[in-house]
Amino acid sequence: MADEHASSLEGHAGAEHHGSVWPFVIALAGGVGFAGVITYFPFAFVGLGLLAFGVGGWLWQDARGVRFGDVTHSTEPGMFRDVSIRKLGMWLFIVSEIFFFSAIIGNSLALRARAEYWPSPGVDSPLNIPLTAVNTFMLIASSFTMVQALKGIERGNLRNFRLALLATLILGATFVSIQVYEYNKLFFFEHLTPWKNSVAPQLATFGTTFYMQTGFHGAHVTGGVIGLAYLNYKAWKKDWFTPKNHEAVELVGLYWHFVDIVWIFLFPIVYLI
Amino acid sequence: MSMEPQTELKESGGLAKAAIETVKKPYFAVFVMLGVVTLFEINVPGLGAYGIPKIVQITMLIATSVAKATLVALYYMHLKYEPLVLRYVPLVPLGLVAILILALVVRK
Repeated sequence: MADEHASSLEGHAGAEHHGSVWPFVIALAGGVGFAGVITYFPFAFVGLGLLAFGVGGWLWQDARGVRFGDVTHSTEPGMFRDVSIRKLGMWLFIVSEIFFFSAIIGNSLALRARAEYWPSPGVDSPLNIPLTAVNTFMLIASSFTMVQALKGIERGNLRNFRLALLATLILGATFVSIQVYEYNKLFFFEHLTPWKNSVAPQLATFGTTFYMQTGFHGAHVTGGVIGLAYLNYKAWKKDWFTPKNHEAVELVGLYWHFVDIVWIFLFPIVYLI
Repeated sequence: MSMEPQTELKESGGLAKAAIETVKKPYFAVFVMLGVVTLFEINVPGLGAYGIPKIVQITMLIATSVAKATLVALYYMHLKYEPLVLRYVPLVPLGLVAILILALVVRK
């Protein structure tokens, strides 16, 4: 793999390498797709096509053994000069996600403030607090195992790194599985739907905000689980991650901790208040 | 491939990285605190039976959530060990949060 890596970058000898173009294509796909959803819907399909093209290109590049982990840049001279450009990029992405979730949670609170009826936790709410509390512990534990994985690779302890990364993946996948079970129970047995239904019409607004908030969070956790699965796969490759080259672990970890923070706010807002 | 950027990062960002690697980080203590606070949180709705008003319960839950999020951001996301300027980056969207809260407060 190291040889493939070297050969893949031979063509760039002497020139500064700027990394893969595919994440940019994927970001463009997101922009076009979401713009299509709110303006001219067919553009959403253009976005989906671009997304498939970008993900395919990225996987194709990865399958050829091309990697950029040891191509590191500091940012331009200025106030962020002490920060790796990738880490800054991830933080800016997280900032955009904070905007996104702030809007969703704010919107849900506004709907709640105007709703005629809202179920009270432990009284007439269809939500299962003990089950979700277990799920919350899963996510907290996965944040702990994620930092243990980072600590392991920083210290060159591959065994701890791989075990902690695997534990994070299992905990994350368990969180998603429990959420799917919860959705199934609420949707089919408690008549909690994202739209108004004839059996429990009073839960219409509650259902809409519940599925919107937990659904978008669940989608983000699912994305994180896919990222963790990829990291686990790479972690078992010889010399892919080393104490000097493991920024991908740190960046996926930042994203994973962020989805944990979102849940830290969603759990009390949706289930306990 | 030029090795210059890597050297550059080591020179510029190396200090922050070295600090991260040498400081003992309280990962387990943070994990225990997050677990204990969550245990407290799931019992808050039951406080209504003891006459604790809803607004007090909500204030408690907001306070515990902010405390937990701060712990995760500072220690698990390593903001405590990052250059000062990066610590301010996640604070940028809080302006939107303030506007949303204001919109709720002044609702008709």
